[in-house]
Amino acid sequence: MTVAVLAVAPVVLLTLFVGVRGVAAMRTTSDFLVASRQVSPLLNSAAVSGEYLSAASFLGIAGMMVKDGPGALWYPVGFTAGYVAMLVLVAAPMRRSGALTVPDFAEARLSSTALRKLTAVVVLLIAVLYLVPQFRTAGLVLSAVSATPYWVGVVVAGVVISVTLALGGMRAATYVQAVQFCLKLLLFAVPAVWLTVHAGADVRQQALRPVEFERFEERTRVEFRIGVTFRITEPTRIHRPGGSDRVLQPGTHRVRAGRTLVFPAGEPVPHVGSGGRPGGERWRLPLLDVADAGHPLFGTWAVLIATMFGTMGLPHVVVRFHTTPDGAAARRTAALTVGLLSVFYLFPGVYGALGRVLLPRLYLSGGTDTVVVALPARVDDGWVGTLFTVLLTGGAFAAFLATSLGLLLVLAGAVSHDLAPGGLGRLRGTALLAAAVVILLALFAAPLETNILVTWAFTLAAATFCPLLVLGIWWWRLTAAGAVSGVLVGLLGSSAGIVVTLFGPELRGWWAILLAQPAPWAVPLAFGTMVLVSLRSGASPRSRSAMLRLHLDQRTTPESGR
Amino acid sequence: MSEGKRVPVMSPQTRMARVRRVSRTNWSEPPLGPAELERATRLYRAQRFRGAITLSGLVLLVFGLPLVQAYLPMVTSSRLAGIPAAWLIPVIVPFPAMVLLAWRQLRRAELLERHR
Repeated sequence: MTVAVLAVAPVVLLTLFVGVRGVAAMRTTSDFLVASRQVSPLLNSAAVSGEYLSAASFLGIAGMMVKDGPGALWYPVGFTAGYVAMLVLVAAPMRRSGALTVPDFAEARLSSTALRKLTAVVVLLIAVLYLVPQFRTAGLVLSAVSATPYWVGVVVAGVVISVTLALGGMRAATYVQAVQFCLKLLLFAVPAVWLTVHAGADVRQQALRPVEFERFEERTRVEFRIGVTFRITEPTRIHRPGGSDRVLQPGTHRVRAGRTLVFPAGEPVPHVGSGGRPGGERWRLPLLDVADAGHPLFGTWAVLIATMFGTMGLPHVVVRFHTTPDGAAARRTAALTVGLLSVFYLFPGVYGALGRVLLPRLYLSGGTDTVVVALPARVDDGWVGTLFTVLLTGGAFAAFLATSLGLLLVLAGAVSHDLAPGGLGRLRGTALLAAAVVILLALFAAPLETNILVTWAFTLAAATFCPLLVLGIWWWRLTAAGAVSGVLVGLLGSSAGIVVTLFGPELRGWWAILLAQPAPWAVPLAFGTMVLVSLRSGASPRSRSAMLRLHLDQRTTPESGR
Repeated sequence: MSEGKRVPVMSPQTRMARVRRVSRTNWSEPPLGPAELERATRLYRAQRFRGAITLSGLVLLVFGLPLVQAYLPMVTSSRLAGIPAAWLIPVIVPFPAMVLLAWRQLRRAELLERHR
């Protein structure tokens, strides 16, 4: 409990303090949504990075590495590559459009109210899909480091961000996110170095030479925070705390959430899912075998397509570019962000490699997402270990807060700027209401995998906003009809794939991979639909000038005031 | 009192807010002048060319590296300072390369705008 309070309280207080300071400076919708466009490139790139480095980056990559092997290291590559593409294709022209939100841009470029409403709905979907796993991980992490129930973390995260946002809007969000980037980088890098040094030469050697986690080397206590089904191939002895010893027969066994099992030393390690045990076959092939379909190269490409193109279309990222004074500053923001993210992403692999040696049992309990915060206590059980647990938990909490802040902002913007336009009061009210809804959703989302929901959000963005922005900026023949049909096709296509993966029958081979990662076909399909329908409907002559305007730097326009 | 259209008096903020409310429902900015249109067209073409080069580099890098991992076991099974090269490749190659790509693209894009 103390660990949770020590870790979370400073981050929460800092967030609220910065948020409250933003109140005085906020009077208009533009203040709320884009901080009146006065944010410098360096501050903005720190805020973009702070916002972008979510629970998925801070905890998820290391966790996936423990579960799926070093192939997980391809995720950050896609995440960062998205910003290079953004720099080339989106940043400067998007800012010059003068829009406040993505739906604003869609309407300004294509003069279609229907498109505005449709894109606002897509923003809503992406934001909710992305927010729920953030809140969920906040709940799981707090319950992992102290004995708090799952809902406490969810509610704390929800209340803090909605209050900060309602009070301070985008200006507060910018400072909070920029401060939290520095915090996160520090709280991620320093413990990584300390862990590597302190773990000892023996652990370092083991970390670099993976062997399959076949038998428990010591008596291992596994706490199942979420329900898990595992499969055993030979009789396995288990011990229940406060109960008797039992021998599990080969077959599948279901463990309910909240149970604890103790495996004596020397017993075989059960299998969870079909992906093999940590250190096994997957650790020899550093690619992502999505859905265990047996096509690791294609699986890796699919993930790269989803993350890279998805980043370009994530509404909470795109909106950050609107906070800069002009197009050139937006471009500099994107370039600086690539650098800042690259520094951060040097470290997740360290946690993953150490986690496989020291905490492979997390693979059993489905709690690999907590590997980062669980490592310090495993390396040092004195006060130093506790200190680093506190630091990492604080960093992880900063990660949820920063990301959720940006997402809640675009959510509020989509509802009360695009769908039902209202003033500042309504924006503030919507922020509080939206947070309440997401908290409720997150309370029931504990068994859902973070990874699937985040993949869904990225794929959705890749198949809807990415083609809309890229074609809207670089192809003047794009029409409103084309954009609407492309966005609809992308939305339905990618969602159908994920819904089948979540609730449908178990699939194998190509079907499994193409439905679990729909980006490789959904993105080209959306692009193709937009192009074909636009060519058939024919663009208005004004469209060309509307597009070219986005490429005109502000030096020659009189209203820039330079 | 002079004849003519009566104009409501309002603060600049109010005027801007009103304009925004109008421009929300239709794309009301005046069309570009001929000189601006020409400059915009030149910039658009130049940036498109420049961007295509950077994007090709990016795609080659990001999608080419997994190809190396998959088909060149010689490279991936070697070790650098004890660390498997297969683990290092997704980390120490793409990130510096992307920083370089981004930096070059930024400089070129800004040069284009300065010289045209």
